[in-house]
Amino acid sequence: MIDATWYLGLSGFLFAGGLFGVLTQKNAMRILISVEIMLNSANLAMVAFNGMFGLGIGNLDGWIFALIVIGVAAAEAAIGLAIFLSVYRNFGEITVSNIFTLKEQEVAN
Amino acid sequence: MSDYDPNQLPFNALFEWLNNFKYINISDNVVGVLAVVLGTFLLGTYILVNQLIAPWVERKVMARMQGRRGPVYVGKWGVLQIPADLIKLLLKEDTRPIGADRVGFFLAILLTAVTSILAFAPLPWGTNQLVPGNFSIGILYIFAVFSIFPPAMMIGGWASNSKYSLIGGFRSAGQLVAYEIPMFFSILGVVVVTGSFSLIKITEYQYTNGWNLIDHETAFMGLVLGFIFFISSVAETERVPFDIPEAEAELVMGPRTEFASWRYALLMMTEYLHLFINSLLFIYLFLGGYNPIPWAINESSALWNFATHPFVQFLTLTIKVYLLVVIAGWMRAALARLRIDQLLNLGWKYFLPVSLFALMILLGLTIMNGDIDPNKALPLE
Amino acid sequence: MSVFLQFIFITVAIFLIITMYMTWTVEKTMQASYWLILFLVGISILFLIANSEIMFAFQLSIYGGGISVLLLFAALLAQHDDYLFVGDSIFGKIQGLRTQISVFLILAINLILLPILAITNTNYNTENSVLGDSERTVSEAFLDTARFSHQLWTEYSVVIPFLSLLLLTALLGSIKLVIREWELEELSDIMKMRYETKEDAK
Repeated sequence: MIDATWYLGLSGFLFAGGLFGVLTQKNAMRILISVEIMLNSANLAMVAFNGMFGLGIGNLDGWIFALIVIGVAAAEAAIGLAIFLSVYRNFGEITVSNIFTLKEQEVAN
Repeated sequence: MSDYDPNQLPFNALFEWLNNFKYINISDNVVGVLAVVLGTFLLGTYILVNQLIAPWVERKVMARMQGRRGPVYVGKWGVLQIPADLIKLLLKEDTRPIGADRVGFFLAILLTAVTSILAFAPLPWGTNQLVPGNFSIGILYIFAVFSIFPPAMMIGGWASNSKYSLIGGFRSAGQLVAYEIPMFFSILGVVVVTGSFSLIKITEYQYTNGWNLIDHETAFMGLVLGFIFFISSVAETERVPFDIPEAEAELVMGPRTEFASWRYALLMMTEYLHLFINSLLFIYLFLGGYNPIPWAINESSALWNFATHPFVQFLTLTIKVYLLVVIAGWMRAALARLRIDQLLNLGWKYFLPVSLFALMILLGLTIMNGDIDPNKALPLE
Repeated sequence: MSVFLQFIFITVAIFLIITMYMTWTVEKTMQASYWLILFLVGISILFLIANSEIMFAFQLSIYGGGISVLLLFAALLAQHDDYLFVGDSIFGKIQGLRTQISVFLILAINLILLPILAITNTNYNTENSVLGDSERTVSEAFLDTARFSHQLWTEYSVVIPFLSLLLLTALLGSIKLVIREWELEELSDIMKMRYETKEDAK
């Protein structure tokens, strides 16, 4: 038997890794990739919980919620990438620290 | 069939046969593992031997249709031509363009070859024989494993650091994504009528109901969906008339341009494996699988013992697959290539609505016939 | 047999951590995208071990087949490379206030999560747990898949219409964001002939 805490520990670790990526990356595409990592780790925890509590009694809430999360992630990736393409057309780059039109600031290296 | 037990272990027939040799007292697990290894070896040998014969069949058929003779020198009737090609390819130099991304170059080959071989898992070669994995999601598994192919082609096209490969990768991904959807709707039609994703149950259903392609109870929607599935699978495997990513006069080889010796051999193997898998899917879904009789028979019929004999099932399947390989060669010899915008128009504007309407009609007819009841409660334990 | 499954779990977990690390530290955006594709395939294998075959299929086909192509196309169209860690030494790599704070955060979150798991482990009633259960028969797997689709039709029947409306909105919105109206002078001659209308010709 695979202990359930293995799944939850791995999910937490991957979530923290995705969070690290979101906080440190300068390229907007990589931020989106790290967000996908976070969503997948949440899905993993969901399916693990369903296997722990639900499959024995025929309760499949975890899988259905994981399906909803996959659908929402797809929609969000599409819109996010469309925004990145528009930004790339107007600014020539995707570095998030250089894209400002609302305040006076020097370009960070 | 009444003696089909879904809980049996993989390669159960081999397990039973190996149990006869149990002179010393070893556990069942070891015999089970041995059965799996032996079964995988046999199945792999069968598939790879078919990979050495199917291109030869296709080349001979194409050649005779074009008024020439095809391979004749190597071996009698040129049978050893494909092994000779393979040995030649493996002995060539493995080149890599300057600036090509090493990991991406390798990853494209890895993903395409591995997913093509993995897709053979839920295919049954007869009732109770040689099913490596009886998944509850049989067809969905094959579809899921195949959907990794478009990104792998794009990675290969980009990693080759060449303009032709990049454009070929874009075209390939666009074409493959466009034709996955009508293919999936056709699969859904058969799954709804049968009530299961598992390929064994679909073939069993066709024993008692006749082949799905010519089923009159569904107002010949089986014919429409089969036609759409066949053409979508031709587009999915990038065969003529849909082989724009490999357009030889325009893009050299599309995303496969820069791959050299063993990589090219693996890509060609992948192409013929895809041909095999899609032919097998068409056979299982619409042409009755390993059922040699097109019309509906049941256990009291005189042909039942003939139709459920394991060797007859195996032979039927092989003959049907080679029939489809001949049809593939026929199309390759006779048809011209579609342009990329004609191809995408066909997929999105015509096949998608037609398959959707056919699926809805099929659903309506099936509910009217009373074959499925969507509000039936399932047992909980 | 469950030792075999545990071995597979540990291998896939190490594979996931390696691919996650590579998405941060490779140079080009395309490379990060294909390491993400490998990550998604690894997650789907973990779903398969957790006795959910249908989530395996959904994860592979939606993420690995759909979102991956989306990411690859966008990474090619907005190609902009940068480096996360500058310098060769360990201290050269951990430069910059943002990196330091975030390294602190990742350690903090891990150190918080693992003791919480250890403490609440005794409250988990794992009698019915089937994770890594090799005694589970094939008929039960068939029944799980049937129950999943049955629940999507009866109890959770709002899921599929909700997702379809959401994805439809995303589709239309992203097309509207990205669409570009070309001026006729920017086009090449062949495209001009195709798209020229009678008013432009005057």
